[in-house]
Amino acid sequence: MSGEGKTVSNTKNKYPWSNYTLKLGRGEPVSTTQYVLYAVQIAAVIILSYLSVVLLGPLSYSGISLFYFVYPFFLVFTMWWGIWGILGAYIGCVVGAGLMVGLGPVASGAYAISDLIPPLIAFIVYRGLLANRGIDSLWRDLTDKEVAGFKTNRVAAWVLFIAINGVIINAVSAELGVGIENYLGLIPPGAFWGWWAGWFFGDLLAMIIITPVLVKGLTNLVERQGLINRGWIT
Amino acid sequence: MAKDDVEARTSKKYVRTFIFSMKTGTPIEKLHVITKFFMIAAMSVLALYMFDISVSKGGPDIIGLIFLLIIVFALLIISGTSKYLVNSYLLLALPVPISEFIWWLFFDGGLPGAKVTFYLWPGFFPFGLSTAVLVLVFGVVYYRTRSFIIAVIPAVLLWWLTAMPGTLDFSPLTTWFKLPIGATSSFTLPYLSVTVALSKALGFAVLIYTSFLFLLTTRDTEIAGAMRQLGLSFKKSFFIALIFRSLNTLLIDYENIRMAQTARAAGVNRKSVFSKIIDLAYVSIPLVATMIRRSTEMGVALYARGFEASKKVTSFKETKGITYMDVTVIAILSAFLIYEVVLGHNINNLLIR
Amino acid sequence: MTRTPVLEVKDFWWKYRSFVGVENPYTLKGLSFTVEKGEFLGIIGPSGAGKTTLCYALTGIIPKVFSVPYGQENEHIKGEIKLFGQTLTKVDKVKDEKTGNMVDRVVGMKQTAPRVGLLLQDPENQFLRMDLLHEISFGMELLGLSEGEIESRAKEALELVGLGPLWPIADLVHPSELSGGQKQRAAIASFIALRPEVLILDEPTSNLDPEGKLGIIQAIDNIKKEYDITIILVEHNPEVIQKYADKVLAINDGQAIAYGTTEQVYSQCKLFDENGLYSSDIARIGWKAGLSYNGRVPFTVDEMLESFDGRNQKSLAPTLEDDPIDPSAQEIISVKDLSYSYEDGTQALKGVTFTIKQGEYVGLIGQNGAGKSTVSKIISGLYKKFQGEAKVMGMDLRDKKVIQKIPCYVGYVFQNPDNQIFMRKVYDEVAYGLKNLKVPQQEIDQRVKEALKSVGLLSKIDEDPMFLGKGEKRRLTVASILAMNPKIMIVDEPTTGQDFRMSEDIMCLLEELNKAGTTILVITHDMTLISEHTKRVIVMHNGAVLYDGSTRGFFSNEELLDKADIIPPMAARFSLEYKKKNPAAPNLMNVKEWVTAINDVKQTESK
Repeated sequence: MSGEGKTVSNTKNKYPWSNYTLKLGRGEPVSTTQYVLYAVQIAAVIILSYLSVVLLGPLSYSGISLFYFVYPFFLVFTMWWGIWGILGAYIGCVVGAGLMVGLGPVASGAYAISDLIPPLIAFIVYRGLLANRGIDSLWRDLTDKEVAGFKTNRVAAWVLFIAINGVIINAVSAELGVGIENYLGLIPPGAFWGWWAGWFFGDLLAMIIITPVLVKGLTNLVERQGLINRGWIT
Repeated sequence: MAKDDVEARTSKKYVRTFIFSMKTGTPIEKLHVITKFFMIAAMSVLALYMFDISVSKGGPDIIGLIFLLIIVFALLIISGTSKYLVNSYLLLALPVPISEFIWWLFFDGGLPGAKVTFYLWPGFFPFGLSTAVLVLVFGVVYYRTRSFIIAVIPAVLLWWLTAMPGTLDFSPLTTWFKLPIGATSSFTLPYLSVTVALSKALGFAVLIYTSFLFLLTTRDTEIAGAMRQLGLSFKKSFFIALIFRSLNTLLIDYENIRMAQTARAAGVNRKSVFSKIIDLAYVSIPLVATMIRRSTEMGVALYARGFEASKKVTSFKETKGITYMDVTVIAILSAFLIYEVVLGHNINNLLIR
Repeated sequence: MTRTPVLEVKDFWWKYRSFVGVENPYTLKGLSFTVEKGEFLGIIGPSGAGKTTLCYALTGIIPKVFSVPYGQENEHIKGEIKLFGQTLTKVDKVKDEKTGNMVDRVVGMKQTAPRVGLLLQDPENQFLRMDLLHEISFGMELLGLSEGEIESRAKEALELVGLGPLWPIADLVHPSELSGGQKQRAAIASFIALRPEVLILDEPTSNLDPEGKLGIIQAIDNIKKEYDITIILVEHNPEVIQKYADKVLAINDGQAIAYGTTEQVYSQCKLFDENGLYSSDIARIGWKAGLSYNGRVPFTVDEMLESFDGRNQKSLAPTLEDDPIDPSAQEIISVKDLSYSYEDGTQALKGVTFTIKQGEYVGLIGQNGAGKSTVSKIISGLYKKFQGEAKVMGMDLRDKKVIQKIPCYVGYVFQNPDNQIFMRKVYDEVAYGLKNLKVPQQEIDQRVKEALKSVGLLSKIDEDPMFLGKGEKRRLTVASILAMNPKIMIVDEPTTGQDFRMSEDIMCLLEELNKAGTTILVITHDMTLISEHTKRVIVMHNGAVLYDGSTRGFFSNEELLDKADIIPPMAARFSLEYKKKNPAAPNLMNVKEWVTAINDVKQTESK
């Protein structure tokens, strides 16, 4: 039958990821499957946020986990699903790493902003700026030498990944998060830099180790099902 | 409602909430979710305020915090959720206030002012009320947990707290006999540091138990209903409902995946921290695959019910009215907020003066 | 009397869209059939035949949910489906709004609900609300019906599916408080409340225990009696199809292989055998033993009794000795007074005691909630806080160090393959457990290949497990545990969602492993497979052991079967009925034994 065995390509553009931009979407409304998927991924982030805090026990309290392993999850989800991943990051922190571990709604709502900013900036920077300069907006170039036949620059990908996500965005997130907690009186002023370092290095470690596993293990699965957002919304 | 229906309804003693269940027919169950949310929001604002009152304004409001804590525990008991809390969350939640107390002492231990002496060891072993506390606490905790270490820690801590005040003030009521052992060992801390640390611990306790109060007494279905009542469209409120519906299912999936990993010998040999982190990352693969599969099937199920073509959606028993009880609770809490936060009064100072 | 056709499928082809990678092949290939008003159509076929895809196409989910790319409509859809005389799906020429040219586009009805309802296989994924009342009323809310109408229809629907007692507390019942069978019945109720004209049920009982299955079948029965609904049922169980269906459509590889009345279709035993379809124990006995009922193979126990009547029963072997377990075999699993409670206080096990010897192949059976999975997970070291005694190979499972090492000796294959696939390459997936056990690389290589070979997946060694078929995924999970060389294998519901041939393959594989020395404990609701492969069963009921003994002994004891709420396989039921007339007849429990016995009789007679 016609078409069987033929390879399908999703772009005729310069890079295999050129379809993934900062536009609103495909020009179609959110399908029912996507609608459900976005809700389900938020639930997943809530659970992982909760586990990120409680699994390390009392060392993680004040809502700051020494190893916030949900961080790379919502980063990757944002690169796939745009605004929905960002929403998941925020709600996940408010509910999972806030309410469910006992921080109360005010403190949770406030300090979860620190989880909203990193995926937001990462999405804008990668899709808006770096994607047109040969860096994959889905981060596959961290693990693969080739993406859909296109040779990647893994060194550049890693340097930028660590510099942008690991250092700059992470520092902003730590500053915001610990700063808000300090302002609310949840952590001693004398502990500010200790907590900041814990936040920064904990997230950095989680990001460096876990992101490649997620990207290599899942991105092509999600892409093959046509579930990667072309833009912010769909 | 028919008589049989009424009987069937009253026979259902517990209703499922976010975590565990709550008793039906209690005042808490009858409150609107907006009231419950306001309650925990107000109490968390009060806790954040009370433990952060500056020294110039009279210092932290410890009595106010204790008062809040009593209210929260009373509400937990009334709602019939306390046994779940004790069985599952007490051990998880108790270390938090204790660790907060220690962190604040450690990082904020140099405040000026009068000092308080703490005895690590008074130079003798006091036989008395403190010994009874030691034995009782150890016995009860060991009976429940069958763990020596878990039983010893709170027993010794409470023994120390009970013994300490009475060591120098020999009172026949609390200390019956002193057995001289070792030399006296003590340290001093600024009274203010202790007060601040204690207030932080109490404040955290209020935050934690109010959050649990909300999670233990709120049904996920109430939140979706409240969203509609607040004017959110059906599709948006249903989106929120879907999040909560998925929580339970995904948690079970996560547990099954972790068990499957264990069955594949993930925990057999000692692994480096790096390897353990990688194992955690591998959980994402079946988890996301399951997420996608579920979403596809749920999307199909939604379509089959007519979700896409729906225009005017009936609100059927999704919303709850605001009652006098809701108004009363909101009014009392608002008054409390105004008294403390807006007018700047301090219960601690009021009562002590 | 011809009735109005409600569904007309004319030479329908469908291909799923590929977003990246290689194009998908056609899943449906030129299907044509008609369903009349009030008719009950059964759809049967092996796994991967396209049954679910067909259900999606009949409800318009294909191509509304699974869309096709613009400009490629003709490559994905051919033919037409008509519903209630109107086009549901078809590719036709329409005027493009932008260019004004005539272009090919998918045309048809936008929405089939509420006139058509679709019940899916997995009860968890179609319970969309957070309490029973709103689940039932969901569709009606979407339709915009009045509150009074919703309430009365919801109550009526719950009664019809046997959930009437839950009506007073429907708004308080959380989905986690309902069993799988109850969730499925709730889903049926939610569709019934919409007063559909067509109800499509896609394997509604495959994920359920026997009690759950019975509840669904009863609900279907009630619906059929109460309303003149057209029903399309995808089902593996021939007894259900034969009881209710007016017509049967058998499909394989997207094509129709048989279509007609139940008699016409189910008589074609050779076709069933060639296509991996299950034609019931009785039909298989009849076919293999050359028995006939009114010119065809018997379908039911009564028909079989009639066809077998008049034979020389004295020649049937008087007794059947089951292979005894070597008395010197060592105890490999021992549990004594085992009790276990979940966090919410539910007591799952109440003093369970049994031992299993090395080399046994034991079936662990019982209703959902009986404690089968709980006891298995304790034995595998997955559940730790139990009371009583549990030992594996003499090692006490109360010792934390023992629990840590247990996966080296006990392999546990979970029910859902999707929860156990961690890697994106088949090789890596099987190697995962071996790497955890720190097996040297060379040995890993060898063991992976051996394990894959034994499950017939060696050719897929470089494939992505996520894109394997259902049966292949199941075999991969078995291979992943097999490679670890466990002394004991516990397999939890290996046949759920599998067709007959795949289920047989899995059970035969386990039998081979057992012959090679592995002790096997299989948890399943499929009594046919239990009767064919296991010699011993442990029957759990309400957290305790109800029976521990030979499979034959259990399936011959009507009182026990009743108490355990278990329906024996058809062959065993036939034996029970047959023995009522012929008490001296042996207890035969599966197709093979009956065929052998009947053929022995034939040989004796011919001499």
